[in-house]
Amino acid sequence: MSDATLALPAGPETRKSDVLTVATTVAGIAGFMVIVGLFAAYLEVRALAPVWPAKKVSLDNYLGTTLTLTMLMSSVTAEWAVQAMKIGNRRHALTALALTPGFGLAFLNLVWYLVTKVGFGPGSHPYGALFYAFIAATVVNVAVGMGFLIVALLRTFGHQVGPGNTSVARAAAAYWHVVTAGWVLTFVALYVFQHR
Amino acid sequence: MTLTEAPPQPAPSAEPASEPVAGGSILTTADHRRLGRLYIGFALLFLLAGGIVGGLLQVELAGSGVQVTGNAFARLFSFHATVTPLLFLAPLWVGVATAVVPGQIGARDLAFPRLQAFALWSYVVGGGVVVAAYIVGSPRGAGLTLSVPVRVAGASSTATDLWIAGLAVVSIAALVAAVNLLATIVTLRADGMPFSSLPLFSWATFATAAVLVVAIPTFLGGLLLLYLDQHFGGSFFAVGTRGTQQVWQHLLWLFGRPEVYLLTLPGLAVASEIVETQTGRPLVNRNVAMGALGGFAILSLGAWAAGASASTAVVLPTYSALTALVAAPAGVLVLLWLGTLREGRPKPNVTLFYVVAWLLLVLFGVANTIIAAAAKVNAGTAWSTGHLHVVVLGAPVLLGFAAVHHYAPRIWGRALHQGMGGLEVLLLLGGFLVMGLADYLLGYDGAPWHVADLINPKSSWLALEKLGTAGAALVLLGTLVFVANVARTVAGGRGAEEVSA
Amino acid sequence: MLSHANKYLFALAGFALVGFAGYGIAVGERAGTFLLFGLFVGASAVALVVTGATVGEPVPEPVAEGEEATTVVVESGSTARPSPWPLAGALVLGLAAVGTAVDGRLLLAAVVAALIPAGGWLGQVWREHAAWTDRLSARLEDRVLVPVALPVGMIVLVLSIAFAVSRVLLALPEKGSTAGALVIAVLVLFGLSLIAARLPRLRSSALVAVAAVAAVAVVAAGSVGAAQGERKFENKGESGEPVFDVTAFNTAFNLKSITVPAKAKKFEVVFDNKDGIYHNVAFYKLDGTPIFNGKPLPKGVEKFEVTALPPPGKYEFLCDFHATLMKGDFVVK
Repeated sequence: MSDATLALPAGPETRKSDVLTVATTVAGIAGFMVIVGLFAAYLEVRALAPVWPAKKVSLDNYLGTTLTLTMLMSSVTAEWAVQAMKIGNRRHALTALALTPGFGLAFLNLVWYLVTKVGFGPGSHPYGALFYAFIAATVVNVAVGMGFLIVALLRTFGHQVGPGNTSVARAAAAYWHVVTAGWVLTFVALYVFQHR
Repeated sequence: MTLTEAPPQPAPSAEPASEPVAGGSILTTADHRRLGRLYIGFALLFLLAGGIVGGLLQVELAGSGVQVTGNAFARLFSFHATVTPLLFLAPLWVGVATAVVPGQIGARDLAFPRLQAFALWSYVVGGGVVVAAYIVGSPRGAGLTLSVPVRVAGASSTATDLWIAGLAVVSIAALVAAVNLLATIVTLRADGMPFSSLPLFSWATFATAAVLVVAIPTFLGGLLLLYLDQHFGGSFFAVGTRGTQQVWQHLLWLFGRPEVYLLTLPGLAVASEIVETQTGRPLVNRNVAMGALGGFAILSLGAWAAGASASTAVVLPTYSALTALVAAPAGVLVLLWLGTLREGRPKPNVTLFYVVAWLLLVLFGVANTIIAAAAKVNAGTAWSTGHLHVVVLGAPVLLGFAAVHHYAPRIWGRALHQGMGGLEVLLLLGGFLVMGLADYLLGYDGAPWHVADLINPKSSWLALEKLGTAGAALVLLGTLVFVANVARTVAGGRGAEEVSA
Repeated sequence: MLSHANKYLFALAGFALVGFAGYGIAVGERAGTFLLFGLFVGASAVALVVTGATVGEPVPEPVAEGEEATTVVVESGSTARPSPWPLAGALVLGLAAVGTAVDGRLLLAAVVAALIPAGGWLGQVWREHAAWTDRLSARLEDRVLVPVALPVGMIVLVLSIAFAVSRVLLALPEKGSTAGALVIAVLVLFGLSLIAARLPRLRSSALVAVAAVAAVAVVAAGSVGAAQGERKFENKGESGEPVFDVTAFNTAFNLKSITVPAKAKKFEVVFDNKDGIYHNVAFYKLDGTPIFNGKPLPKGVEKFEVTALPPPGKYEFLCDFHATLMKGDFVVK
C-alpha cells in the first residue's frame, strides 16, 4: 500500500507543524484547570472560615508582586524568542530562550524563599493546606514549562529549531503563557483575595 | 572513531523515515497497535483482580455473620470500587482508541507515539502503586464512593498516601493519553477528511478527550489537597472545617460523574459502527448521530450539577431531571440503529448480539429507575449497588467487549471466535441481569449498601444475596470466556479466521 | 465556517456557562459556581485552540451524481521508533509516587532521576532529526556520552545497590542480617562466576533477562526493607544511660512504650517532631501527677534528659496537646 495519490491539491503546509503547539497548549490548559479547582476550593473555604487567613498569617505583598512581575516578564521573553526565531534572528532567539527559563528559575527561587518564611506547614490549618496546594501545582507547572523551554533552547543551539521550523519554540512558549496565566490566578487567590 | 560499540539502534536516515519501522520489544514499542493491545491486556488483568475481589465480597454478603473477609471488608470493598472503573474500563477504551483511531482517520500513527507508550506504562505503574496501597494497609482516608474523606491518623497513612499517589499517576496517564488522542484527531486527519466525515468512534474519542482534558485536572487538585491533609496531619477535610466537604465532592465529581457516562460514550459510537458494518450501509442520519454523541458528552457534565447542593450523597439513585436528560441522546442513537437495521439486511454477528444485550440491560436499568422514583427508594440502599453494576459496569462492559470483537481484525489481524462470543453474551447478560435484580429487590426492601454483613436480615435478604452471588459467578464466567477468546486469538488459535486488516 | 468539532466544543463551553449562571442563581454555593465558570473558561480555551488549528482546512467538494469519488490511499504502518524512555519515565513517575508516601528522599531522588529518561528521550528525538548524521552521532557519544554517562551511571548503580542492600540488612534482625549478607555475597559470587564461565555461549537476551530480574529483586527487596524500617538498635548515651528516639508524625508517636531499668539514674529522649503542629513528650503517673513535662516543639529535633525517675511501676507518657491520640506506656522496672 505505498502509491499515495492525493485527491485534492495540496493545501498550505500549516497542519503538520501545529501538532506540537496544539498538544502543549491543551496540556497547558489542563495544568491551568488544576489551579482553577484549587481556586474554587479556596473561595469556598475562605468564605466559611471564621478567620481568614489563619491566625498570625500575613503574606507580604512585595513577594507576591515580584513573583507576578517575574512571570509576566518571562512570558514576554518567551514570545520574543518565537518572534525572533520567525525572522531568523538567532542571537535574539537564543538569548530570549535562555532568559525565560532563567526567569523561571528566579521564580522558583523566590517561591522557595516564600515557603521558608511563611511559618506554617500544610498540616497547620486549612489555609496552610490550600496555600501549599497552590504552590505545589504552580511549581509542577513551572518545572514542566522550564523543561520544554530548555529543550527548545538546546535544539535551537543545535540548529534543529530555526526560522523554517519554529514549532518547538512556539509550543514551549504557548505552554509557558498558560503557566503564567495559572500563576496569575494563584496570585489573585493568595494575595488579592487574601483577606475576607 | 568510536571507542565502544554503539548500542543497537535503527540507523538514522537523512530523510524522515517513510518506511514502517520494526516494533522493538514489548517494553520499548511505540507502535500504536501493540500499545493498544497492551492496554487491553492490562485492563483485563485489572478486571480479573477487581472482579475476583468483588466476587469475594458478594460471597461474604450471601451468608450471615462475617465469614470470608474478616476485618478486611472495607479494604476489599475499596479495592473493588477503585480498580474496576479506573483501572479496567477507562484504560480499555483508551487501548481500543489507541489501536483503532489512527487507522480510522487515515494517519500513520498517533501524534506522539512514544508519549502514548509513556501513558501506558504510567498507567501500569500507577495501577501497581494503587494495588500496593491495598497490600500495605487499608487506605481509609478516602474512597471514590465516600462523599466525605475521613482523616485517620496512624498506621493507615502510608497506604492512604500510596493510594492517592497511585491514583494521581493513573489520572496523569489518562490525561496524557487524552491530550495525545485529541491532538491526533485535530491535526493528523487525512487530507480531505473534515470533522463531519470522521468515523463515529473517532468522533466519540475526540468528544471524550475534550471533556477529560478539563475534568481530570480538577480531580488532581482534589487529590493534592487530600494528600497534603493526610500526609501532614492537617485539618482541611476535618468535620469541623466548614465548606471542605463540598469542596471534595465538587473536585471529585466534576471528574467522576462525567467519567461514568464517558465510559459508555465510546461504546455508543462502537455500537453505531457495528450496526453500520453488519447492515452494510451507513447510519440513516450520520449528522444526527454525531450530534447525539456530542450531546451525550456535554450532558454528562450536567449530571454533576444536579445533586451537588446536598452536603451528603451527591449521587442520587433516584430520578433527577438533568441526569435523565443524558438518556435522550442515547435514545436518539438507539432509534437511528433501529432505523438502519430496518433499512439494511443485518448479518447475524456476535457484535450485534452484544448491542442487543446492551439495550436489554439498559432498559432493565431504566425501568428500575422509574420504579425506584415511584417507590421513593432512599439513597444508601443496595439499590444503588445494583444500579451501579447494571448501568455503570454492565452496560459499558458489554459495549467494551463488543468493541474488542468488532475491531479485533484491526488490532490483531484476526477475528475473535464467534461461538465463544455468543456464550460470552449469554453469560454476561444473564449474570448482570440476575446480579442487578437481586440488588434492586434488596434495595426496594430497604437493605443497606456498603456493609459487610446485613444485620438482622430478613430471610429473603439472604436468599437474594445468594441470587446475587450466582449472578456474579455468571459474570465472572463470561469474563473468563472472553479472556480465553482473546488469548486464543492472540496466540493464533484454531478457528480464528485470518482477516486482512 | 464552524466544523463539527468547533460546534461541539463551543456548545460544551456554552453549556458550562449556562450551568454556571443557573447553578449560581439556584444554589449559589461558591465552589460549584466557580468550578462551572472555570469549566467554561477551560472549554472555551480548548475550543479556541482547535479552531486555530483547523482554520483554513479545505472543505472537499461534494461529489456530484455520477462522478466517482476519488480515493485517497493512506500508507499504513507505524513509523514510531521503539524507545526505552517512556517506560523509564513511567518508572521514575512511579518512584516519585512511592516517595510521596514512604520517604521524601525517594521523591527527591525521583525528581533528579527524571533527568535520565528526559535526557535519553531528547537524545533520541535529536538523533531522529533530518540533519543528524552518523558521524555527529559517533562524535557526541565519544566526547560527551561515554565519558560522562558511563562513570556517572556506574556510581549511581553502585550507590543504588548499596542503598537497597543496606535497607535489607538494617531491617533484618541482627543474626539475620549477618546471614543475609553472606547469602547475598554467595549469590553474587556464584552467579557471576556462572555467567563468566558460560559467557561465550550466552545470548544477550538471557543476560538482559538475568540483569532485569536482579534489578527488580534488588529494588523490591530494598523497598520492602525501607518500608519495614530499621530494627531497634539499643541506644546507649554517653554515660551508658538509655536513649529513646521518640518521633511525632501524623499526630501519633512511633513508640508505644518506653521501658527504663530501675537502676538507671536518668534517661535521654531524642524527640523529633515531623508534623507542622505543636507536640511534646510528657511523663505522668497513672493518677495524673506529672513526672516530667518536655518542652513543646512546633517542629524539629530536641534532646532532653529525664533525671527524677519514679519508683518501679507502670506509668504513661503522652503529648499534652493530643493526649487522646498520642500516648503510650512508661514502665520502670
